[in-house]
Amino acid sequence: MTRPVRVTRPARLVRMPRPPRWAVRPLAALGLPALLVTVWWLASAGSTNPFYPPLRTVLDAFGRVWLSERFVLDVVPSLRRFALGLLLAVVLGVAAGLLIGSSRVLRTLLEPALAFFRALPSPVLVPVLLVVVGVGDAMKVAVIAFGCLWPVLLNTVDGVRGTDEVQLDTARVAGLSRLATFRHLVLPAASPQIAAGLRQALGIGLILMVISEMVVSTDGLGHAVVRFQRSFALPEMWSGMIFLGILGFLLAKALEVVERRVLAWHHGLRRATGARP
Amino acid sequence: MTAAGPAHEPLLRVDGLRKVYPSAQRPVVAIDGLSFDVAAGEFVCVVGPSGGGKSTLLKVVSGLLPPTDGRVLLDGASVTGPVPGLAVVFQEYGRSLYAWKTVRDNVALPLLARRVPRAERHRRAQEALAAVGLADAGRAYPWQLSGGMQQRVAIARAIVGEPRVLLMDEPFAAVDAQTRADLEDLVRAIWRRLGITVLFITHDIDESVYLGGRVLVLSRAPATIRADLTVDLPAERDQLGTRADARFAALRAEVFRLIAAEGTVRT
Repeated sequence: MTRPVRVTRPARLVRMPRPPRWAVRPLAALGLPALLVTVWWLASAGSTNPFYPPLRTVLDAFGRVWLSERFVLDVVPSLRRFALGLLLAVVLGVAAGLLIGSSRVLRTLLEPALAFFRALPSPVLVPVLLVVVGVGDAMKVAVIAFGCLWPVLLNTVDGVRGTDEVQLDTARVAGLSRLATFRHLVLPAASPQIAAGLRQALGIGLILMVISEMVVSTDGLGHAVVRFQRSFALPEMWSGMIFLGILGFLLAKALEVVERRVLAWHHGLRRATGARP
Repeated sequence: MTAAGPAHEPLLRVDGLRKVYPSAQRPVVAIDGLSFDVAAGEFVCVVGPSGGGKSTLLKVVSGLLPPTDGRVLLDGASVTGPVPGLAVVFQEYGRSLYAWKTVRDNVALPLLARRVPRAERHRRAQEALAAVGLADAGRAYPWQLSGGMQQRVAIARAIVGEPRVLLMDEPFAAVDAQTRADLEDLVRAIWRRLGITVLFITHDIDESVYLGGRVLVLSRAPATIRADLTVDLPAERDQLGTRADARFAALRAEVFRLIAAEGTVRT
């Protein structure tokens, strides 16, 4: 007595055992960086050119420089300026963006000025601010804040302008005050756009942090890299670049993690409606 | 607004309503001299040709748009902006719910505006959700629900503040037929249980006759009242029996004829 054999079942048994899903993405993501490091390692291994030291030497320097009191002397001041500047930009940018975005009069009045300031390369402010606020932390924080302000502000304005008419009518019918409408509708509705502005601001802020510290400074990551270069401590200089790269990457990742939690509703909505951008 | 008004004062009075959208080239007259009364506890359907100013009527009655001329009176008081006594269910359920709030917080929105304490907001939102058959959905997000369930949430949000009048703007135009039938019966049931007054706008002739105690037939734009029919069907209605009723067919034909005379018909 034989039973008919189903063709679809045995096919499954042939399949290779797969690595668990949680492991696939990190492994894939690490592939290219690992390859690049290997290439760099091999290509630079026998280098005698002082400008391109072997990666081994650079990594030696990395441990020596950044896992020492340098961290407190250079990294902490840099991060403090960066955080302050970004915070200032977000507070001002979101507040002004909510106002400008919800007022046609304000937009008409301010749009040409906004376009001008956005087009202005922020580093050009460094000499101006050196004169106005001096060489201290205030100058660096101001430069970072100025550069980060525009992506946050303009994205907020866009987000606010995109508030759905029906949702606004809903708020009015529910009797929400102007302030409550901002808090419960306009701000959350604009938050995905604000997050997009924040991502841009993060990159810009890091650049401006380094630039402002390269000009007139006694500490900070930008200052350290220039100082190593001028004293021909080239492996240390390279290690500074690697450190900045890792820092930028970690900051972007941190923002991504926070965004995924705070804007979980946005990602869920996009999945539910077939991922409209 | 006093409780002891004149005895025959209707709950909702629309009086000589006119709405003109200004335009440099040619002003658009959406509504032209529209008047009707709705008594407390009535279920009135407004049916008319597409693009005939039905949605404009709802926006003016709800206080979302100011009239060019004429007045809307709720309990004798002029409606010049949204008032707690008037709640609205919009057609676009997907757009009217807030995706960042849970279903329960969406429903509680009108209570939030009235500074009702948190615990009571939750309790009343839960009651309203139970009334629309979604007692278990409070913690979900709107986008996790089907279209019909989302519109139930919007109905719960409209009734949570215990409004005098429920305004509905083609609320079931975007859901499938079975869901639509369920939602129609739900609205009838809520109307009967809560004793509220419903003004229901639709382009669907069958729906207007099935739901309403009265059907106002609008003319083509600019909208005026073309006919005011009493639906003399029994209060107990069901999708199969009522729609098979000879009286239902006669009323349906009558509304159809009135609208057909206006030109564009959607069936």
